[in-house]
Order: sequence, then structure tokens, then C-alpha cells
Amino acid sequence: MSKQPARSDAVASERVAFGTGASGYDADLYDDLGPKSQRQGYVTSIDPVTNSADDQDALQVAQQHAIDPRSFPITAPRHLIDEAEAAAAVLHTDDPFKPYVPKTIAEQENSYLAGRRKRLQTAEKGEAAERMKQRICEREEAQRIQSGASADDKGNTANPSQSTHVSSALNSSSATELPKPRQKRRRRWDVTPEIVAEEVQGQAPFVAPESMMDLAVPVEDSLPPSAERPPTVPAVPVRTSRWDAPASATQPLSRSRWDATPASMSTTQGPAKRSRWDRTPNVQSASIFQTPMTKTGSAILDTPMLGNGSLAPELLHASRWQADIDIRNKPFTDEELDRMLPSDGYTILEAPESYKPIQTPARKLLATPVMSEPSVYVMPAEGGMSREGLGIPAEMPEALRGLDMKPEDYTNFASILDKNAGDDDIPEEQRVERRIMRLLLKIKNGAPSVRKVAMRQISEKARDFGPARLFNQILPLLMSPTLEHQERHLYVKVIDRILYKLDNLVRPHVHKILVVIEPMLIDDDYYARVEGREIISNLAKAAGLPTMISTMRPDIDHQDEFVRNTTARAFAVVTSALGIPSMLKFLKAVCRSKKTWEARHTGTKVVQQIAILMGVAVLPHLRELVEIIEIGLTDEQGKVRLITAFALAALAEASAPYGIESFDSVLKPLWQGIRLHKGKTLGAFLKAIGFIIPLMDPEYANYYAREVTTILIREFRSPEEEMKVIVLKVVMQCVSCSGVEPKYVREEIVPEYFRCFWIRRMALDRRNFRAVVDTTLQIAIKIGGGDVIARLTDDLKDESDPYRRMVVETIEKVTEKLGLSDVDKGLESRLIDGLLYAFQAQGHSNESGGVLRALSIVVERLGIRAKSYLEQIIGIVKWRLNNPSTRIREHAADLISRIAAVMKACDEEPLMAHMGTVLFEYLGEEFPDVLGSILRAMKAIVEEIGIDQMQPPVNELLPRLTPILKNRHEKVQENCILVVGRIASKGAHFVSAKEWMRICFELLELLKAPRKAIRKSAVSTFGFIAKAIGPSNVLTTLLNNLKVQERTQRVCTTVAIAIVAETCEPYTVLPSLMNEYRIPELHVQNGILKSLSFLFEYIRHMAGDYIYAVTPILEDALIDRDLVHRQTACSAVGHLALGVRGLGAEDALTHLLNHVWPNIFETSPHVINAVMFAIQGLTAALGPGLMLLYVLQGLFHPARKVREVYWRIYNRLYIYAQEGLVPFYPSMRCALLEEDDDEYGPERYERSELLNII
Amino acid sequence: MTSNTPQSGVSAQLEHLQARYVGTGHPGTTQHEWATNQHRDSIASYLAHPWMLEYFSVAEGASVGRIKHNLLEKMHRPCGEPPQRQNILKRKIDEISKSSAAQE
Repeated sequence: MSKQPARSDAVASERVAFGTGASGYDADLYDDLGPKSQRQGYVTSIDPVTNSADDQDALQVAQQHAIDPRSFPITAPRHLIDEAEAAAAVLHTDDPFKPYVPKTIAEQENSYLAGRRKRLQTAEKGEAAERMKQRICEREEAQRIQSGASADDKGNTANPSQSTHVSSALNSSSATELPKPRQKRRRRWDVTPEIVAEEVQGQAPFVAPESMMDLAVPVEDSLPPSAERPPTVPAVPVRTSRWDAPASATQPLSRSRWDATPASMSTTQGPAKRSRWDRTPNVQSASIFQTPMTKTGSAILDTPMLGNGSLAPELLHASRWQADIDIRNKPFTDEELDRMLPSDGYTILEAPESYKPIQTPARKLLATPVMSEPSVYVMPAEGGMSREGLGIPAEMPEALRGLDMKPEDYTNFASILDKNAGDDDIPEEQRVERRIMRLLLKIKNGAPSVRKVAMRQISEKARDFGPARLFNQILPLLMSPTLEHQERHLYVKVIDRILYKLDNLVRPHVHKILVVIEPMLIDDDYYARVEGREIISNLAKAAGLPTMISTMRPDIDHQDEFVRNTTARAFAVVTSALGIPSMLKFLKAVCRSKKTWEARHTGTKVVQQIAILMGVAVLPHLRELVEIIEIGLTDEQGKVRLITAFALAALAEASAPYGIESFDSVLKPLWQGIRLHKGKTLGAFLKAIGFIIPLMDPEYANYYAREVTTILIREFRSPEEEMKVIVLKVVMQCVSCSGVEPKYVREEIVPEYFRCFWIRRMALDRRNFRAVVDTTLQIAIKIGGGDVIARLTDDLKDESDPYRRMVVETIEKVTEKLGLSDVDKGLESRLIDGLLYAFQAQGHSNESGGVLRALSIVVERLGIRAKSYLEQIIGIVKWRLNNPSTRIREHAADLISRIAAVMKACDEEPLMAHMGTVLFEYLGEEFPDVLGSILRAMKAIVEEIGIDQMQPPVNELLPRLTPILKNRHEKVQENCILVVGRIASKGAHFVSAKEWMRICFELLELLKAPRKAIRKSAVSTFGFIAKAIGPSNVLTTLLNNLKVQERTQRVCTTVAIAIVAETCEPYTVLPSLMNEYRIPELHVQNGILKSLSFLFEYIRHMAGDYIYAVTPILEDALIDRDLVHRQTACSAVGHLALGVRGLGAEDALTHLLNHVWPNIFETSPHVINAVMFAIQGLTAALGPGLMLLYVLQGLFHPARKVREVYWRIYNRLYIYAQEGLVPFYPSMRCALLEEDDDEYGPERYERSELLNII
Repeated sequence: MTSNTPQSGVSAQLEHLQARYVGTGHPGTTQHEWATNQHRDSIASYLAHPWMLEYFSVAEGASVGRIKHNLLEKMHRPCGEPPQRQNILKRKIDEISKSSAAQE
């Protein structure tokens, strides 16, 4: 490709490329050759190896350092890079916000997933046929290497990645000279003078070989740049021999780079006065701020960067930081010193003779950088140096202003961010590219509205832009290492949209898209997988099956497992999009492929993925699919057998519980397989059998399960983790089959099972833990819970905490599922004993309440049988309520609330009363979680024991609870109000009215709690209290409360009034309310109306008796000048109408409707909503006919504004009662404006049928 | 039709939803359209109530099937073709409404 990879190839292992893709050479000095593809001429003369090989090599470098090779033409010694990385690491170690910063996808992915980057490189290699050929070459090469690598006389280290590029070289150049050029790493000294000159002049690669640093050879131009420096001629002869020595031996072509220096030196002596040695060694910063400083016209901006693989985020950050520091720390120049220091009294001293400027290149590299702009501290202009220095344009172009930019965007979207770069003077091609880029940037960073518009534009214009240009821009962005999830989502959405528009135009680009999208199929993130699937299936629909197959076929036997894996998944997605039948033939061909086992493996994997993806939808084609892959069971390649077994398992799982007949043909090979194979393959075969057995008829299942059990039992002892999980799964499936007899399981499987799997080691791994618990539960269901519990009970006292947890969880599940009826007295006491031990021994910190659950379930299931243990349990609880650990106290209290019902059932009232007193003493608890649990336990006891028997007596208990109501913790609030509510409903008379009043005020606060459960219990408690102490007292306070300023307080009060009205009958409340309305104060009146509204909503039909009483007040409110009066009154009318509907109050309602109706022209949204609500309520109460009469008046009013409102009401009416209007439509005979229409008479609109009725 | 009046989101949405039903109207609905909808609704209602059909058949002295058929036939253009001068009329109405709005 271009020459940068060639160079980084030369410095392959000891340094990495750095910088930006565009700055590879100086565009001013070397004509701008345009996009990379046109620059190819550069390399071929120098590099004996083909371009693709170069790619591969550059790729290696890139992978070593996880950096895109094309982007970093500036190179530096490895240790410097490491240093920078270390610096970045140090910078970031103590970032407290680190976990909150959204992570880029590149940061999250593992090394396997990162393989996608490698793929992108190969993606551009050309068409399917070509790639196919390449694969063949690769294969041959691989075989050759395998067979005779050792015999290679050149000692070529043929690692796999090298062999790929070797073979691709073989593809295009002559095969004979292939091993040679790759034997020795090319050294930088090998490059031809042209390149060197270019390097020197261009701002490009700063190459400093390690050997050079060690030598400390004086370098001619190592004086500080500010000093006068004679144009020295480098002492070439001295060094040439040295540098030439290694090169000349192997490659006659090579010349020292110093040969070229004089020429270039002379150019650098020019006005710039800077040789490349003066350049800052700070590579990190170089990549960023070099560009603007060199003033060669921003090189970054000139070329659209396709690779855009900028630095890793940390590096970028570090470099930004470094750039900032460098600007501050640069040395003073003479002019600056002149300006700073007075001219007299100071003399400028000559440098002493003995002074030698730093000559060691290594040290020099680390010397302070020199900036081109000599200046003392100048107040930076707004957005000046620091932004410019980082490559950020000071001003955004008009169209993109207001976008939120990420630092990386400035490089990715550089070409459109330059304000001065007008679109007028560039070729059409580029203009379109920029347009696309602008749209993409808007989509990525814009506000939703901007994004929407841009998205619509890009999808509408997709065909005009053309697929090539679109995908050339989007796909590289998708591969960017700084990509975040949100961005990926947006890009994927763009692709999705344009795919619809482009339709079959995408065909030539299918492979490119797939390369980028396929890795998403194996992403860790679920949504990424879904998005990937969606795109691939849309792609398949757009491009068609033939294109998809021909595009992906070459990848089926790709060398790289990653590629095959993703391809198989992509094929499965394509299949689900286009249907299984269309793929069957192709799959058959692939699975029978004679050429490579990779193809067969991938084909089988496709079937497996289809089964996983499509689930039960494989059923109609099950037989064909099984037939396609069954041959793989006897394949000579182990991996194919393995995947075939997995695919069969997936198929059986997907089609369960149907389709056993399709598996007939594979049963035999599977059975032979489990006798033949060992290790992994055996595991896979067992898995397949495990999934097939549940599909069978009971008697067959029994037979086969017995068959497989012998093998299973043998494999119980297998040390492999994978095998253990599979074996457990198969045991579970075998045991759960109805055909398998409990006796057989108990005698044959269980003893060995418990010996092998109920060991401490199994509890350590989460996956094993789960599997063992589930399998044991399944066994317990088969053989009875008592057996299993008997085996496990003694392990409750095991000293390993995870193991105990496993036992406890199993016992809990078994008890929950099967009860404890088959547990005898002895086991029962052992079980309780063990559980109590576990309860006490559980860890202080990491306890999630497992033992608590198990213990409470066991006690619950024991029921009355638990009587003899309760004393003991309560003793332990009391002890543990004193524990310093909050979690332990919480659990102890929780245990009481869970077993309270059992205690009652066991007639242990004295014990419960005792517990009540104990808990009462702990009400001073300061940890809210614990306090909440204590209150919950209290509630459970009050509920079970009854208010009268409660100890301590309620009149002592309640005053303690009142202050707790103030607690803001939700758990405390909820449980406390439940206790109070319970007392208020059952035993309000135990407490004085004064105390209840106090509680009422606390409750008012709770009416606005965010949790609904709290509000609900507060409301009901309020009602109980009002009922208990009579409404008058409460109401007075509430009405006073309406005068307060705070709105939420007033709202809560109105709610409370409504509650009181409901529980104590409206007549206790309404008179005082209406009386209060006479106070000529806006707040109060509105509050009253609001409470009326709530009240009518709350008491519903009870309002029927009071409607005539409240009509005057509503009437008054509806003709008030104040808008809010009318609004609130309207909603009151609405609720009232809904409540009294059908109670014969039509006259009053019509009267109210007459007052509501004039308000329909209100424009304030709240008011008009309330009015519309009132009208709807009245429609429900009065019927649609009456309402139609009101509406008819304005439907054809001359004023459009009037018609608008009336039609709106008409529409509501029409939707509400379409047919109900039929009898009420007016006679249209005289309603016509167009009566002079002669064709039809005036009868035209008359509904003549109705004449029959009259 | 709702765009120029201040409406809260919910009711605007509701109205948008309502506007999608056949039979609902807007300020530009002509009397012919409205009457046509009335007729169709009425006929649909008669057809849905067998006792209505029976009643009509007794009154008109025709069989129930005939009545049913006639009504169904009538569903298409129950009020005849829309008046030709509809547009002129509409414009007239608009003019009037504009002038009245101006007077206000």
C-alpha cells in the first residue's frame, strides 16, 4: 500500500509507529498525491516484497502495540513509548471517576474480539474469487510449512502470521524469490536515499535506532537550535562504514541514510533553521501538536483519514497533557531574555570552552523541545494556543456549531472542521465525502432533533451518495479504537437505514460490511449482538442469498479461527433471514467438503448457530439438518466431531420435546462415540445424548439413560471443569426423564454422585455451584426430598463457608419444592440443629440471607412440628439481636417476622409476647435497615397475636412509634406506618386522642412519600384515625392547613380531607368545607375546590345525596373571574358527574353543564383540559344526545376558531358514542347552504328511513 | 387543526388519534361530508339491529332481505355526489369567517 507500512515494517520489533496517517510526508514538498491508493508508486521500487506482505508485517507491529500502523508514521524507540504509556497509566491510576467514564468498546473487548481489527486489513484485499485463491495458497503454504519447516535452510521462523503473508506474496509475485526478502528484518539503513530525504524533510518518522544511542557518536547538528550553527558537512566517511557494515553484507542495494543527508541538510538550513533533530523527541505530543506548528498547512486536515486509528485514549490524554507541559517548559530564547532582562548591567557570556552541548542522541532525545514560536508568556487568546495546539480548530464551521465534540472527533472529522476549508474549490467527489462526514458527525454528536434530520437526510440521499462513499466513511469509524457503545449504536442505525435505501446496490460492499459487523455477533454486550444480527439480516435481504454465499464462502475455510467463528454466526443470521430451505443445499455441500476440515467444521457450526438462533423454528427442517451434519460424527478431524456433537445438542435442545425421530440416524454413532472417545469429544457426545434423551419415549429413555449412566459414573471423577458441568447437566436430564425409575437412581447414581460432587471444591466455582444445586434438586424430585436432606444435613456443619452455602441452598430449594413430610423426628432435629449452626456460623460480611431463607422455610414447612425447637431458635435470635454486626441483627429480626405465623400455630403466645417486649427494647436501633426489620417483626407479632394480647401494651408502644415516623428511610417508614395502621384499625381506643392527633400530623408528611406502598398505608391509616377520634378535630386542623403557603402540603391536606370524608361520611366534612369557602382568600377557596374535586373522586356515588347542596358553590366557582377557580371547579364537576351518573341528578348536572360550557374557548392548557374533562364526565352522566345538541350549535359556525373547538368536542363525543348519536342527528332539511343545487332536492340529506318510525 | 391552539401533549395526541377515525371531523368538514357520515352511521346501526330491519320491512311492505339490500346499496354515496360548488362555498365560508374574525 503506501510507504508507511513499509517503514514500520523495517523497524518492526523495536519501535512502533506513531502519529497520524496523513503526515507521512510533506505535502508541500512532494506534490499532494491524493488518497492513498494513488500513492502506491512510492514503495515498489524500494521494497522487494509485495505490498500485501508489507501490510501483514505492519499489521504485526500494529497488533503488538494495538495501534493502527497506517496512522503513525512517526516512530520512536520502544522504551519511550513504554515510558509514555507508563506515564499515562500513572496519570490515570487515581482517577476517581474512572468507573463512571463510559468505556470505549476497544477497552472492553478481550484479545479474541480484538481480532476483528486484523480482519479489517485483509478485507480490502479484493474480490471473492481472489480471496478464494489466496486461501488455497495459504493452505498449501501451511501444509508445506508443517511438513518441512524444519528443513528450511534459511532458518526462517515460520510463525503462522508470517506464513500468511508469505503465501499472499506467492500469490502475486514469483514463488521462487519468496522466502528471501523476509529472512532478515529490513533495517532502516536499507532504505533508499529518496525515502531518507523525504523523511528528513517531511515531518515524518523520527527514527532513532537503539544502536545509535549506545554509540554516543557526535552528531554534527546537535547544537541547540537557538545557537548559531555553521552549516557543517557531516563527516560521512567516518560513519558510513560503520552503518554500512551490516547492511552491505546482505543487501547490495542498501545505502546508508547518511549518503543522502548533505542534500537534505542544505534544505533544512533554510529559513526554517530546523533540522529534524531539533524536533521534539516527545513523540506523544508530536502526533498532535506538530501539525499546526509546522505551518505547512495542516497536514492532518489535508487527507481524510480512513484509518483514523488514533491513539489509545490514555495515550491521547497523556500526550495532550505532555503538550501542555512542554509549552510551559520550553527554554527562553535570546529575544525573550532580552525583553525580560534590562540591557545594562548584564553581559552575555560566551559559553566556556569546556562546554560541550549534549551529544548523546539518547539524552538529546530527552532534552527539552523547542517551539517554533519564540515568545515569553503571552496571555493566550481565547481558545488560542492550547486548543490550536491540540489540533482543535478555534472556531467550528457554521453548520456544525453547537455540537458536543469529543477530542478524538477532531482527528476523525478533521477535514470538515476547518473553518476556512470552503466547499467551493474542491472537486465534486470530495465535496460529497465531506457532506457525508458532516452528516455522520451530526448523527453522532448532535442533539436528538439535529440527529433526526441528519439521519433522514443521509437515508434519503443514500442512493445519490452511492454505497462506496458511504461505507468508506462509516466502516472505518466503526473500527475506531475510541468507539463507544452509543456511537456504535448510532452508526449501526445509519447502516441499517441506508441498507434499506441502497438495496441491491450494496452488493459490491457486502464483504466490507460483514468484516466490520460480524465481530459484533460475538460481542459481550447483548445489544451489540442484536444490532449485528439485525444489520446482517437486512444486508442479506438487500443483497440476496447468492451474493451473501459467494461473499462469505471464502471465509468458511479461513485459517483464522476468529474469522470462521464469526462467519458461521453470520451464516446463521442469513439463514434466519432468508429461510432454512434455501440454505440446505449449500450447507450440505460445505459439510461434505473434501478439501479442508475447516470448511466442514464451519458448516457444522452454522447448523449449531442456526439451532441456537432460531429455536423451535428448526423443527420443520430437523431431519435435513441432522442428515447434513451426521457425517461429521465420524470425521477424521477431532474438532469436526466435537462441533458436530455440539450442533446435535443444540438441535435437540431447540426442538425439545419433539423431533426424536429425526435423531434416529445419529443415535448409533453417538453411542459408539461415547465408548470410543475420551476428553473433550466425549464431553460433547455426552452433551448431545443428554439433550436427546429427554425427547425419547419413557421406555427408550430409561434404556438409554441406563446405558449412558455407566459412562457418566466413570466420568464423575473427571478432573476437567468442562466435563463436570456437562456430566451434571446430563445427569439432570437423565434423572428428570419420566421413564427412569427412582429405585435405579437411588441405588446406581446417587451414592457415586454424592461422593464425587458434594465436595468442597465444587462450591468454589459459581458455575459448578449452580449445576450441583440444580442437579441435586432434580434428583430429590425423583427420589424424594428426605433422602437427599438426610445425606446433606451433616454437611451443614462443614467448616468451609462456600460449601455450607451450597448445602443450605440445596436444602432450601428441596424443602420449598417437596416439603418435609418424609423427614423423621431424628433427621428433623439434626436438620434444625445444622441450620442453626449454619445460621450462627455464617460470615459477617458477604451474607445474602441464604441461611435465613432456608431456616425460615424449613420452620414454615415443619409447622406445628417446629414447636420443640422454637425456644432454641428464639434464644439464638435474642442473642444475635445483641450482635455488633448490623447485618446479623437485621437477619435475626427478619427471622422473627418470618416465623411469627408458625409460632402462633404452635400456641406459643407467651413466647411471642416476650419477643414483643424484647423487640420493643430495640426500637432505639440506629441503623435504618435493622430498625426496619425490627418494625417488620413487630408488625408480624402484632398481626398474629392480636392487639389485645400485645406486649408491651399498645398505649406504651405507640408513643415510641410516633417519633420513628419522622425517619426518612423508606424501609423504616413503610414498616412503621404498617404497625401504626394496624393499631389504628384494631385498637385505636387504647390510645388517647391527643396522641392520634400528633400522629395525624406526621402522616400528612407521609402522604407525599415517593413510594406508593407508603402513601397507600398512610392514607388508610389516616382514615382509621379519623374514624377513631371523630372528624371534627382532625378537620379543623386540616382546614387550617389549607392556608399554608407550601403547595405540596396543601395538596396532601386536600387528599386527607377526602379520606376523612370517605371514612366518616361526607356530611361531617362538607358543611365545614362550604363554610370555609366563604373566606375571601384565593388560596383557601382553591384549596376547598381542590378538596371537593378529590372528595368527589374519592367518595364516588356517595356524592349523589349532596349534589344539590354543593351545586351553588360550584356554580359560584364556575363564574369566578379567577381562571384557577374555574379550572378546579370543572374538574370537581367532572368527578361529581362521573360519581352520580345514573342516580337521577340530571337536572343539577345540566345546570352545571350550562356553567361549564362557556369555558370551552379557554386557551390555557390546564383549564381547557379540565373543561374537556368536565364535558366528558357530563357526557357520561347526561348521555351523548344532550351533548350533541350543545355541539351542533357551533359545528358550522362562520368563525373557524369556533368551529375548531366545536369539532374537537364533537370528535370526542363521536369516539365516545358513535352509535349513540344516531337517534339524535338533526333533520338536515333546512340546514343547507347549498339549497340551489338542482340535481338533488332539498330532501337530499334527509334520513328518509326515519319517516317510517314516526 | 390542533397546531395553532395551545394544547397539552396528551390531549393533542388524543386528538391526533381521534382524527384517524373515519367519521370524525375538522373545521374544514363540509355539510355534505358530515351528512354522509351520519347516514352511514345510521345505516350501519339499522343493519346491526335486526328488529330495526323488521320494523322497516313492515312499514315499507318489503322483505327484510330487500330492506337490507337497499340499505347496503345506500352505503355508497347515501347523499349523492358531493356538490360541485363545494370549493366555492368553502371559500365563501372562509371569507366570511375571516371577515368576522377581523371584526372581532
